[in-house]
Amino acid sequence: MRKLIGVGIVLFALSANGQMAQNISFTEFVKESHNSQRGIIRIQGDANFGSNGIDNLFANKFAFGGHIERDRIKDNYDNMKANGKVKVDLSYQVQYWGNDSFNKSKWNLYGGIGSRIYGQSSFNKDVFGMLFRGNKPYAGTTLDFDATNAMVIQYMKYSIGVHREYLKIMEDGSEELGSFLGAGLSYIQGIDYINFETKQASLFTEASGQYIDLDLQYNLERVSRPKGISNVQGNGVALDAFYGQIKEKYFWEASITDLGFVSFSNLVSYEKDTTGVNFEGHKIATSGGGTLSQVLDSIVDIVDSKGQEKSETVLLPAIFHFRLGKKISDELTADAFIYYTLTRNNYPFIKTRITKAKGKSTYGASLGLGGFERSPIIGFHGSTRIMERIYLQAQVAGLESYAMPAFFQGLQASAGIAYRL
Amino acid sequence: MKNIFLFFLSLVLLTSCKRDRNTTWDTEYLTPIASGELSLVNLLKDSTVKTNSDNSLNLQLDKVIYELEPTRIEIPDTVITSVFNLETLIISDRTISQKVTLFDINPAFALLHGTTQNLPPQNLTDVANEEIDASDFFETAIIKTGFLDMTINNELPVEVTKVVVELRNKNDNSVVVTQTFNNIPPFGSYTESASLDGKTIQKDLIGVIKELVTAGTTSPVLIDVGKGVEMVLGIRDLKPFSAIAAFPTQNVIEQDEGLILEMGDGELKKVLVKTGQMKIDFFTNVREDMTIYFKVPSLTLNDIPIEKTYKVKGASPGTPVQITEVFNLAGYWMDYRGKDPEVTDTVNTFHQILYVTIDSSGRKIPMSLEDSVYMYYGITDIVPAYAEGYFGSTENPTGNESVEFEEFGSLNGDVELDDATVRLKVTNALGTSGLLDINSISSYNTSTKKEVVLNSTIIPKTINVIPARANPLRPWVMEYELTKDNSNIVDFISNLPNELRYNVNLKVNPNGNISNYKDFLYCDTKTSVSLEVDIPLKISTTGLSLQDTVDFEYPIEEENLGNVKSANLYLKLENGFPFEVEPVLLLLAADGTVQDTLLAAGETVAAANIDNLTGDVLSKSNSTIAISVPGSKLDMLKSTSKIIIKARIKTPDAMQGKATIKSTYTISMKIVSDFVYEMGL
Repeated sequence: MRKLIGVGIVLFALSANGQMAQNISFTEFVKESHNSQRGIIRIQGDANFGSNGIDNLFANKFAFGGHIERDRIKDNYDNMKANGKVKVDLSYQVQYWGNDSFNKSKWNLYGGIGSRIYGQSSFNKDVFGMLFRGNKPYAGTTLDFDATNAMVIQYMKYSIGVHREYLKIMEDGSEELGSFLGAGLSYIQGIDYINFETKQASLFTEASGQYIDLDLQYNLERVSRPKGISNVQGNGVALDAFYGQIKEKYFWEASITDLGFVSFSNLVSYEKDTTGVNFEGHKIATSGGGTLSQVLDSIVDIVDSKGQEKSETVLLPAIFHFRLGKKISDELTADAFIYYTLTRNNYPFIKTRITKAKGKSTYGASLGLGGFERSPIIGFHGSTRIMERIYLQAQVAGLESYAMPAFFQGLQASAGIAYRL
Repeated sequence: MKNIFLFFLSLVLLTSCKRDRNTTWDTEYLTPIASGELSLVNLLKDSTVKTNSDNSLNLQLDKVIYELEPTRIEIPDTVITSVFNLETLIISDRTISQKVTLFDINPAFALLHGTTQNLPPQNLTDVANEEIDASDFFETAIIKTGFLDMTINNELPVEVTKVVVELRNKNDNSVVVTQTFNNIPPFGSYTESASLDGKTIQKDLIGVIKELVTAGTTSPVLIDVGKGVEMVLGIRDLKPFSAIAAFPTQNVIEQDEGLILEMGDGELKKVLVKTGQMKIDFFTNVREDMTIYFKVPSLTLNDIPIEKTYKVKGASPGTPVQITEVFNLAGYWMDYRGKDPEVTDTVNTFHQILYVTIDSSGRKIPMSLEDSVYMYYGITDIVPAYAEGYFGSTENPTGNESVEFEEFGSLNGDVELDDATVRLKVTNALGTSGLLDINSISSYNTSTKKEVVLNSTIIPKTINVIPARANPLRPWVMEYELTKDNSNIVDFISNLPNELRYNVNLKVNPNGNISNYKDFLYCDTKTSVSLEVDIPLKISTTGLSLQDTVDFEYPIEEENLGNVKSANLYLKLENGFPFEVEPVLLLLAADGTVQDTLLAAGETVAAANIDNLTGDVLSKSNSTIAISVPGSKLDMLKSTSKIIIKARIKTPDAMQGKATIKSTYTISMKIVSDFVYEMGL
C-alpha cells in the first residue's frame, strides 16, 4: 500500500510540476534554421497535464503546496469517472540546428540534449478515494482497486541527426522553403522508472469498523539505486524522424519522436499475492496485554513484500504528430494538430488553431480535445521576433479549468526560443 | 551574447517549479485496533478454576498459610590446623667412646706388659688426642639446648685422681666442652653431664685428655698396656637452632580421637550429607620427605570410610611443597556416635585420625628455625540431607503473623457466595512429635480493612502432631473440612482476602526424648498448615472490581505523532456474563503514576440476557462505548507505558438471587479506532 501511495504521489507531483505544454512543431524552427547563416540554437520546453477527473485547483495545491481541503477532494472524487486517468509529460531540450553544415551539401546537422519525464496512470476512482479520503467514508462498501496501473519514466536524450530543406522557385524567381525532412538517432540514458499494476485488489471496511477484508495482488517495479542524472539506471536508443511540406495555400508536417527503448538493469520487483485477508485488530493476550504497534506491524506484513532484482526493457512513450495548416489570408492561418503518445489507454489529442499575424508577431487561440483530457481545452498562443535574431514562441491552454474546475481539467503550456547564429 | 545568456538564465529560473511549502490533506481512517475474548478462566489463574460437567465453575485454591522448620540442624565445621618447626624437631641421641691406654700414656709400658710392678704416680698433660667422627648423624649443628654426658671408665689398677677431658671441633680447634673428673677409683667409672646450650658442634671432633693424674700403687700390679681410661661421650636431647643433620623418622602430628561438636539443642547420631566438603591443605619448605595419613572412620560412603596417604617429597631450596585436595562429601554418612560406638554409643562425637610423619631418609638435611610445616585439615559447610537423633524440645510461637493471599487476583469489592468448602490441613513431614496450638486464623482485606476470624466447631484448640514415617518419607496429615454448617467459612472467603493472618505455636518434642534418638528430618521438610478452598462460582455482587494492567505502546512513529489530528476509540463489547460491567481505563506513565483517564466511570455495559427461571445466560448483550481522544489526550498517550483496565461488575437490579458463572460465558471486546490523519508530502 505504501508503494501504491508512493507511485500515486510521484505521479501527481509530476503532474503538479507541469507548467509548459507539449507542442512539437517543426515548420517554424526549420524556417528559422533555413533563414539563418549558420543555424540556430533552440530551447524548447513542453509540459502537459491531463486527467479525466483531477482538476487544476487540486493539481496546483498538490504542486505548489498547501492544505487540500476535504471539499476539494470530494469534488474531484465526485466528478471523477469510474475509471480515472491522469497523464503528465514534461520535457525540455536544447538543440543546435545547423545550416549549410556540410558546405554546399544540402544536408545539415542537428543535435542536442533533452530531458523528459512521462507518467500516466489509470485507476479506479476508489484508489483516489482511499489515498485522499481514507477508508472511513467508504465503510460498509467495497473499494475496488482492480485494474489500477501507473507508469513513470524519466530519461535523458542525447541526439544527433541530419535534416534537409528543399526549396521551391516562386513566380517571381525567388526561392522559398518547399519541404523538409530529417532524422536523428539518440542515446537514451534511463534515470528513473516505476511501473505499478494491480491484478485483484479490494478493501472492505465493516460499517462500524469491526473488521477489514483485504485482497491485494499487485506488481511493482522500480529502480533500486540512487537516482539522478549522474546515476545511469538504464541505456537505450531512440529514433526521431520528420517530414513536412509547405505549399502555397497549405502546409503539413508529420513526425515521430522518441521511438525506441531503454533497458533498465537494476530494477527491483515487488509482487504481492494476498487474498482473503480478514483483519479484526491485534489479538490481545489475556495476560500482559499486547502492544498496539503490533497492529501496524500486522498491516505492514499484509501489504508489504520482498523485492527481487530484475532487468527489463521498456518502450519509450513515442509521440506521433501530424499537423495540417491552411493559409486563409495574408494575416490569418488555421491549422489542426494530432498528437498521439503511443502508450496504452491513450487517445490522440486533436487541436485546432486560428492564428493572426501582425508585424513580427502572431497570436491566436486554439481548441483541443482528446488524450487524457475529459473536456475541451481552450488555449492561446503567440510568437514574436526580437532583434531579428531571436524568435520566441509560447502557448498555454486550460486556464479555464481554474475558473470552472468542475467542468474543465487539463493544462498545457509550451515555450520555445530560437536564436539565429 | 551576454544578454542572451541572462535571458536563458532567467527562463530556467522561472521554469524551475519549486514548492514553497508542504502539500497536506486530511484522511479519515476507520480500523479495528485490537480484539479479544475473555472468560473467567482467563481472569483467574487457569489452575484455580475447575469446570464441572454442567459447565459451572468451581474456584479451587491451595494455600500454605504457615510452615515451620522447627529444628535447624547446623553442623559445625571440624577444622584442625597445625604448624610445626624446628622447635619440635629433635636430633637423635648418640654415643661415642674413645679409650686412652697405658701404651698411649707411655709407650715404655710396653716393656712391662704382663709383668707385675709397682706403678708410680703419674702426672701427665696432653696425654692423647683422639679423633671422633660424628658425621653419621650430623654435619654441623648450632645447639639451642642439649647435653653431653661424659663417662670415664677407669680400667687401671690405680686411682685416677684427676683427669681433664676436652672435646674440641677439629676444624677450628674450638672447645666444645671441658670437663674435669676427680678421684675415679681403680676399675671404677664416673659420669659428668655438660650443657651444650649455645654450642656449635661439627662432625669432626677431637677428644683430648689434657691432664691425667694417677696415684701410685701400694703393691705390685699386673701391667696390661691394653688397659687404660675409656672416655664415653653421649649427646642427648639435642634441639638445634639450625643443623645439617639426618633427622630420625618422627610423627609431627598425631590425631586419633573423637571430637565433640557443639550442636545446640540437637543430639545427633547420624547425618547424611547433602552438601559439604573436606579439604586437606599442606605446605612446607622442609627438605625432608614426609608422609601424611588420614582416615575418617565417622565419614563413610557405602560403608567405606575416607582414608588417604600422601607421600610428600622434601622441598627444594626456594621451592616449597604444597598439596591441596578437596573431597566432595555429598552422599556421605557422618556418624556422630563417637570413636568406638560399639563400646560407648554417644552423640555429637566425630571420630577422625590424622598423622603427619617425617620420613628419615638418612640424608643430612639443612634445617633452621625458619623452616616449618603447615597443615590444614577441615570438614566444612556440611548441609544435611537427613539427620537422626534427638532434636530437643522447643516451642515455636509465631505471634501475630500474616501471609499474602493473591489467589483472588485483582478481585475486590462486595460479593456474596452461595457456598464454600475449605479443608484445613496440618501436615508434618518431620520425624518428631509435637503439639500445634491454633490460637487464631483470619482473613483480611487490605482495601476494605475488614477482618473475618475463622470460627469452627470442629477444629480443636490444640492438635496432636504425630511424627512422620521414614524410608520412604510418609508425612502425617490431619484434615478438617469446614463448611457453612460447621463454620463461618463462607463469610471468611466472601471477604475476598488478600492477606491471611494467623497465630499458632508448634511445640516440638513436648514430652522430651520419647523417640529414643529416633527423631529424623529430611532437608526442607517442614510442618505446615494449609487451606484447600473450593468455591462454587455462584455469586451475587453489588460491586465487584476486577483490574488488570496491560502494556501500551503508541502505535504511530514518533515523527508522525503530530499527524494524528483527532481520534475516537470505540469499545465494542459483547457481554456474555450475567452481570453489568462498568469499565474504566487509566493511563499510567513509566513511573507507574496515573496521568490521565481515558475512560471514566459511568459507562455501563448491560448484562447478558438471562433466563429468569434458571439464571442461565440466553444471549449476549451488545454495547458500544465511545472514547473521545482529543489532541490533549493524544499527547498523553505518547507518554503512556501502561493502561489499567478496571471493570466493576454488578448483579443487575432486576435479577434476584445469585448467578452461576459458567465456563461458556465470555465477554468479547473489540477496540475500533476512527481517526483523522494528516497526510503530506
